[in-house]
Formats: sequence, C-alpha cells, structure tokens
Amino acid sequence: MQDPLENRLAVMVAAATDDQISADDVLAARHSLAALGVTSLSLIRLVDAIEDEFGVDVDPGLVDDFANLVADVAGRLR
Amino acid sequence: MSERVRFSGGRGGRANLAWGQRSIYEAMRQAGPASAHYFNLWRVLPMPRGRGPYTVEQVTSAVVALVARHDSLRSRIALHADGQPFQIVSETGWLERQVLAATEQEAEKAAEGLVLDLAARSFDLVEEWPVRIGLITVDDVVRQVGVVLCHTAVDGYAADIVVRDLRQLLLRGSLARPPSQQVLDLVAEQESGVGRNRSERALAHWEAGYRKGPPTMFPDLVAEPGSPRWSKAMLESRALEDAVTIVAARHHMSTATVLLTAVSALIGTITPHETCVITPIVHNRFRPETRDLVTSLSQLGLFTMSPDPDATLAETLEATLPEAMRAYRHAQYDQLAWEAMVERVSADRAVKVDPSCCFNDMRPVDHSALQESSPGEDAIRTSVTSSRIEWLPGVDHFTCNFCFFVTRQSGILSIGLNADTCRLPQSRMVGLLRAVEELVVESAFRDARPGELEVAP
Repeated sequence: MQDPLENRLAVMVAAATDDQISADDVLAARHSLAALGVTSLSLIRLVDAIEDEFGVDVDPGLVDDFANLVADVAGRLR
Repeated sequence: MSERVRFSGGRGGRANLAWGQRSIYEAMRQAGPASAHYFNLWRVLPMPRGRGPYTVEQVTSAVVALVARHDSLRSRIALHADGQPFQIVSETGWLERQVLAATEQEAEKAAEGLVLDLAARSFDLVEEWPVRIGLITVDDVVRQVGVVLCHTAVDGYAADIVVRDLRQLLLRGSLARPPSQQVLDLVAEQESGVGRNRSERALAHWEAGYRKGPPTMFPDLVAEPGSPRWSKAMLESRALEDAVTIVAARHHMSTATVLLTAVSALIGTITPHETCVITPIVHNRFRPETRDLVTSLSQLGLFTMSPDPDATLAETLEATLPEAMRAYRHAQYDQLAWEAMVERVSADRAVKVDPSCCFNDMRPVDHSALQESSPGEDAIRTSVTSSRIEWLPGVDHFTCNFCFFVTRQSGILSIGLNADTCRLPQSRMVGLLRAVEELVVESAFRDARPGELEVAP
C-alpha cells in the first residue's frame, strides 16, 4: 500500500531523529510526530532535508502528523 | 613572550563573506576596534590525560594541522575599492603564540589569565589570521592550551569544534575525515539558486513580522540610568534546569524553546504591545553538513507571539511552537538584503523598526535526547531557595536594549539579562529573571500563568 515517497519520508524522519525512532515506527504511527517523539529540533532538520532532496519548502509550523506531511510534500511535487 | 608561528597547508581562495560572517562583521565594524574584542571567543583545553608529555613544538604542530584543516582559520578579510568586505583564504600565514611558564598549582589559573589577555585585543581583520594561542608550561611540558578566535571566523559552536579537533590531533596526530563543509563551499551554496531562495523565504518571514509587530519592544525611558547604564544580571538556578527539562520533555521541545516562550510571555505582562517580538540567535546547525563546519553560521531569527497573560505556559507553548520553528528555520539570509528589507519596511511605516529584544542560548548545541532522571517536585522546589542573582560587569553603551541569555556556569543552568536600565531598572531585571524561574518551575508541576506572577517594577 505504501508508496515510495512515503517510505522515503519515513526514512528521513528517522534520520532527523538520529534513528532514535525507526522508519517502521513512523509508518505505523497513528499519532502526531511530536507524540512519536520527534522533537522540534528534529523537525527543522527534517524540513531542511526535504528541501535539499525534493526542492520543496514545507512549513515546519504546520507539520503535525506523518500522513499530512506525505500529502503536503506530494502536493508540492505535483 | 608573544611570537609569530608560521603555518602552511590547505587550499587558498577568495570569496564574499558568508551571511553569518557578514552579520558579525557589521556588528564589529559598528563597535569599532576599541570595542570589537567584546566579540572574541576563547576556549581553554587541558592536555589530554594519560598521553604526552607534550612539548611546545608538538602542540604548535597540532595547531598548525588544525589551521590547515579549516579554511575559516586561514581566512582574512580584505576590502574592495567600494569598501565592501571579502575574504581571502591563505595557504600560508602566521598566528600569534604566547608561552608562559607556571607552577603545577597555578597552571589552570594561569591559562585562564593568559587566554583573557589574548582575548582583550581586537583582531586586525585585514592583517591578522583569526587564531591566537597561549600555552602554559610546567617544567617545559605543556599543561594547558588557550585558543582565542575571531568571531568572523567562528561562532560558539565552531569554537567547540576547533577545540575538539585540536584534542583529537593531540591524541592521534591526524583526523580521519575532512570537515563536513568548508566556509568557501558554504559561500558558494549561499550564492547559488538554492541559497538565494532560502534567503528570500527567510526575508519574507521577517518582513511579515516587521510589518505587524511594534517597532521596538521597550520604547519608554522610565528611569534614570543605573551604573553602568547597561547592567548585566545572571540567575544561576538548578531548580530552573530541572524544571525546564521536565517541561521541555513533556512538550517534545528543546529547553531553549521553553525559555524563549516563557520570557516572551512575561515580556507581554510588562509591555503594552499586542505582539511580542523577540529575536533569538539561531545556530543554523540543522543540516548534517554543518556538523563540523567551522565558520560563524549563527544569525538572528524572528519570533513573534501574541501574549495572553491568562493562558497557561503549557497552552502558550503548544500555541506558539509553530512560530518558534519558523523563527529557527528562517534564520539564514543574505545580511545585506535583510538590511535593505528593514530600511524599506521602516520607510513604509515611517518609523525605524528595531525590536531591540534578543535571546541568546550560548550553551553548546544539544543533539542528544533529554535526560530521564529528575530529582522530583519537593527537591526542585527546595532548590529554588539556593538559586542566586549575580551582577556581571556591564557597559555604558550598547546596541540592544534587552539581551536575554542562557548559559551554563559550573554545570548549572543560568539565565541572564543585559538590559538598558533606563528602560528596565535593575529591580525589574531581577524581577523578570525570577519570574521566568517561577513560571517554569511552577509549570513543571501545575498550570501556571504569566499573569499570576508579579514582575517587580
């Protein structure tokens, strides 16, 4: 069911947390990224990494849960 | 005795100043050579235990290898015909070295004195490379190395990298990997399309804030100047450290964000503005390639919030986190374009926009997770009684009305305020520091609101 973008972003979330959270945890989570343990620092790192890799600008203030993040990036890539 | 040590190694090149360098360069230019030493950074490194002994020449060789490793440490500033600065990275040059003999008992103190001496003079940005070293020897063996660095070449984070690399060079003789990025590459990135886009986005964030916020946060002169006019108070508080760790973990935030929000909320109770504008100094070390980049990368960010004295700190933290993250994200921009934006907005508003209200977390960047162990409510509340205010040397002239800072003194979290006493009398400065402590400590254990606290007038 999962698309390549979703998988890639899950890996990037994990990397932004220095792998304190695994990509599988990110994909399985139903709660906000914060509830999963993604700190604000990690979120900025994630948003920077997304910009570097996909060339799109995500507002870190609006990233709440993973599904929305995927939808947001997918929308900007279209 | 002061002498010059030759260095060679590494590439040469020239480039514009990186954005963070430009911002510090401007601040130093405005301060003038008589005061620019205020911006110097220094670190003291005791020789690694269990290794050595190290001779003066061995330590000097390690410093030369260190300088060869980082472009930034071989960079000097020159001026174009129109007065605009650029940097020249040299393949060879010199740095100042002082060697001082001491007794075993005095070595540590002597190192502190020597490094302060070396830091008490401004760097000649055109003639001098940005590193000075002071070595303390006991029986011809080096015990301590003091490193003084010019702020156009390093920020606090980079100064820590420099000392870490020097330590590794002393222990191992070489470093396996080159730095993640060099200042010349950073400038190229900033001048590329990606960099320009990043800057434009950041400036759009600033412009929106500068158009809506109050032109300045503390407009009114309410008291006769204290002595000195810009006084500097510091509150050392273990209770605050323990409490802010609890609150930060609860909200998945950094302790810096909690303190930034708490102080902004309290400023809201002592100023009449609908919007509180505060400019945190942002380290800009979020990208992996910045991990061991030696340069002055930090720049001001812009944090705005609408203070609500009746909202709990917890509510305010949740409500303002998006703005805090935008502040951190949009702190990389072309300094000259930023100045043009400020002029444009000021002209449109017919008033100089300058919040003059900043926040500086000077602790090393913390990439690690928050600690689990906490002493518990009773112990934390009890330890409030042992926190204490200390007055540090102030100055009679300064450029910012309100500088809130966070630091660590002998292992204990300290918050401090360097402020214009005509706008914030000393009693109010102390009141504000105490209120930040109380708001955060209370918030660790119950709902606490800034409006419930009295900040001394």
